[in-house]
Amino acid sequence: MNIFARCMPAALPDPIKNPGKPSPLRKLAEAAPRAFNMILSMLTIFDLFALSLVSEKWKRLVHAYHTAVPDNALQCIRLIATTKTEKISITRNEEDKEFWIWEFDSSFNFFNSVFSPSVPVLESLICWKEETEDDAEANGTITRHTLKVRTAEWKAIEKLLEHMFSIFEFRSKIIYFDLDWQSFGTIGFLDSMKQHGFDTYSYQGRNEVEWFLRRILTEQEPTKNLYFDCTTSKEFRFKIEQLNVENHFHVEQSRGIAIGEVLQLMDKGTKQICLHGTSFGKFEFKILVVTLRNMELPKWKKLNLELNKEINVFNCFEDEEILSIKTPTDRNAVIETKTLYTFPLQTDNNYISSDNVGFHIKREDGTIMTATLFGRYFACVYLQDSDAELLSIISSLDHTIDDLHFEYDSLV
Amino acid sequence: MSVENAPVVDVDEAAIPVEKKMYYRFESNDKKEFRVSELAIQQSETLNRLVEAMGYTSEDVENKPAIAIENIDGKTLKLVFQWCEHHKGEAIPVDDGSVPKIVEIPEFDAKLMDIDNGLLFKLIWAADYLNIVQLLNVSCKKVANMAQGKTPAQLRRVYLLPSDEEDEAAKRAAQEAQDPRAREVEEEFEERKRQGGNSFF
Repeated sequence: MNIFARCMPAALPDPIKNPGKPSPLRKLAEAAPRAFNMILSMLTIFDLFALSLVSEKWKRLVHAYHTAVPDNALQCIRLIATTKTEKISITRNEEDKEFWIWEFDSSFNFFNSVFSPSVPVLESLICWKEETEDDAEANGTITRHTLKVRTAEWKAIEKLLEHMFSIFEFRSKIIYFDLDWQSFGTIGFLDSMKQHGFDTYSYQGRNEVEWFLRRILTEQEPTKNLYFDCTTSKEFRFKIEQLNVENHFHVEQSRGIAIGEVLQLMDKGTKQICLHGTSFGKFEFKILVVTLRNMELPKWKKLNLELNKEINVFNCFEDEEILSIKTPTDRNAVIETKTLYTFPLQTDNNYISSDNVGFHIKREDGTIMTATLFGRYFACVYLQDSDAELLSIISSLDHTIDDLHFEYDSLV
Repeated sequence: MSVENAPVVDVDEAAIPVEKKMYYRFESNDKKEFRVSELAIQQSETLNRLVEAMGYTSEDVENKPAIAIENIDGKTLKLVFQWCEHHKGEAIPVDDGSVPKIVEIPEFDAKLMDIDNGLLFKLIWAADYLNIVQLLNVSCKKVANMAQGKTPAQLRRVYLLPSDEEDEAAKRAAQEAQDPRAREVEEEFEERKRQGGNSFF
């Protein structure tokens, strides 16, 4: 049985009268394209999406309309998968407060539906229950339109994403993938599916998620942000150097990521990189800092690392000249290339103990890079905006690991 | 049809300038004649340019044959001119290219467009052909509203859109039952499409 067979439509469509006769809307597309495009421009995202599911012909028409006008391009698509929810969310504009959300819901009552094998797969996935809610927030009202999709299987999510990318153009893609909030085997929807006795459920544990991740990272690659927290097998690899992530690249389980891949990401222009659980130690950290000292990086701003060993900056750079300055804002310090300037890190943040240290490095291009070491394993390397601004910027040096974490709430 | 017997679109006398009223006569493709005020015609960019180019006097309007609009039938044209008369003198909106396009349907327009879908699509086509921007906006909005919250299955029903299978089946059936007349019709349709699709309905 098809894996989607359990997703049954609420009602069967009525048969079309005069099937041979072209529909007026279709005729309008040929005879009055201006009017046809105007009608499409008045449809909501969900309506356009529904129209694209009517047939292959309409899928092509919606895509043609959407790509014909640059203004039609949607600003952002987000895939959010956590242990609690899976969502695809779309906004039209950068600062849009209106979200169009496809929420995957495995708890839908399938028994109330009528099954028809003739209903196309994608259409049968959608429960088509639209809900709209307005939230008054400090920055204005946020409107969320939600469409419930009655499945939470990765293959279904992938199918839906594939369809969206075939009809809409997106300026940026964000992938937020967090399945390790609790241990993988206890994800709620898996249990509830089993309780309903659906023998068609094709969960194969970690392999299925890895299959999905590989597809999502290679075929629907994130372009703006990527947050990825999911325990994978040791064999799981993806070529992160192929990605073009503009803003944030954040991986919680980074043991498979090599130092070369990190540098390639920076070189490609990713602004902030945060890697937890890396396999990096003293050697890799030194390579990173020395390379960053000489690399031309027009867009990169911050790198946050969780190392696998405690490191001491003095041992790490014992062949370099290291000068100590009393505070990060020591106005008497003259910062030279080839010298590291260490300073005590003063913060009352709970994460950081009093023996933490920070240091400045002058780069080849004259910019100042500052590295701070938190606790036993955490390092944060970031670029100062300019020499002139250095003192004022670092005077309030309170960077923490949390700074680079994704704000989940800001995603949806 | 004589000028005396021609159906006359309701006119709001109070809204018409006192000094000079000029009514143009138009004829639909099924020979129905309409008298439309000069001010109402301004809502249609196409007709406005046409009458300006013709330079008719009041006498010409009465004595010369009605201006033929060959692509639109009387039922549709009646709706078009009713709309133009009601909205005469109103500013013509400029398309700012915003997406999604926000359009409100006034009460009069909603009542006017309380018609079957076939006629509604003819009205859209006529508004597009005659370049009546606001009528095009509201009629397209009416069609767009039909899609609101609908499933793909419901959209097929509302807009009479066949699924892939139905499309395929219809094609096969047409091929099987291709008699000379069917072929003629198909060829005619294809020919019209090639000519630019002006004879839409």
